[in-house]
Amino acid sequence: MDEDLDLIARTEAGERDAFNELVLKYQKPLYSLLYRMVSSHEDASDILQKTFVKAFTGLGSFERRSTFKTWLYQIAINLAKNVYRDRSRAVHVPIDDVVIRRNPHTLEALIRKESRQLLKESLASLPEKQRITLVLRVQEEKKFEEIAEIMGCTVGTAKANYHHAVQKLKAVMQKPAGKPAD
Amino acid sequence: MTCRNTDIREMLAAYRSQRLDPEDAKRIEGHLAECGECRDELALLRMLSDEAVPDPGEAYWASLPGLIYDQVGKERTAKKPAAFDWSRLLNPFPRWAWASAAAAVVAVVAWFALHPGGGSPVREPSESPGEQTAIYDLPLDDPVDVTDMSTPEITAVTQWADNATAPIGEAIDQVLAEQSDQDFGNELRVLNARELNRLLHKLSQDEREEANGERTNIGKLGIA
Repeated sequence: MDEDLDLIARTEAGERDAFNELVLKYQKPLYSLLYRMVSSHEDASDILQKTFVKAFTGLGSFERRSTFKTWLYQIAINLAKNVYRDRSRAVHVPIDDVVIRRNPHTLEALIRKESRQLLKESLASLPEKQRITLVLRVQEEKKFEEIAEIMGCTVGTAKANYHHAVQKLKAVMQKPAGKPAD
Repeated sequence: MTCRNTDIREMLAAYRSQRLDPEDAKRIEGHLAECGECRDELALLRMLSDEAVPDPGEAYWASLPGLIYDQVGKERTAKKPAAFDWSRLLNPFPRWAWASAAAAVVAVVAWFALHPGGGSPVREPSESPGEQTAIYDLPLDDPVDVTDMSTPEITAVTQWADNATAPIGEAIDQVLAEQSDQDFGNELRVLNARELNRLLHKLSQDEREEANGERTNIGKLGIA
């Protein structure tokens, strides 16, 4: 990531092109991550902008112990967590309610459109760390080592969070209608 | 039943996104052929990863760096310290400091007024450097006997006492003078004719006594 460090140095020296280059490089992957976390363009866009603003105003506190990309992800995830917590205070959808509303009985039925909505709701009902880990692993295609660095935990914890998340989703999608998840 | 082959399960996401080397991919395919649990899990991962993220459009992406740049500029400006207030050079102390200083001066003056003999004369420097040293060397906890003092020391102490008490005396004289000029009209208005006569009689008596050489205290001539 020497290229990033060079761009950061030039940004700190006041070079606007370097600043723009860093934004252009990371805006799409970060937006994708944020959208999957908050499921709304308005929120994802707002958090994305705040992430970059926070990163550039706090460049002095970037200690280069991780990559710039990982540091950006950490900022974005922390900001998204706040939005998510505010939302879950406002509307709480217990995972059992999601199960009761489900229609398909078999995993093959997951292909159907309505199942996608069910999966989305189930994903949103997962505990925060499990959900973020699953998004990073499956949708962002991160290695467990990267996830551990972003989440500030051990690789073992990252793997455990991932497995718990997958198990819960599988349980939700496989249970017959009306039965709560274990 | 849950598959306990965690190695395989941890690689399923990478297998789905075709990030595995051919050897690992073959191992996964062999396992999937036998394990329904992992097939279900792979289906779930595919569904999760297939969830589309809407593209806000090129106009959005193109405008974003500019928006962020402007916002960063605003926040940096907001964090800058305020411009230096040159008027502070002319008035370096806050109001509370001036108020505290004034209160301290009043307290010191009041203390001297209540304890005219107070203070330590041995702390006051004299005119002569040699005598000054001698006086400062006297220990505070050792009371000074005037009979032990030399003539220059007594002169220095007397001079100090005169200097120290002069402002206090002036202040007291000023207060008394102000009281003597005070308008007692309001107080006199509440007195009836008999009380006024008694007051006039008292004042005449005091004037006579003063004329006879007796000292009177003008403060005692109050209405009370």
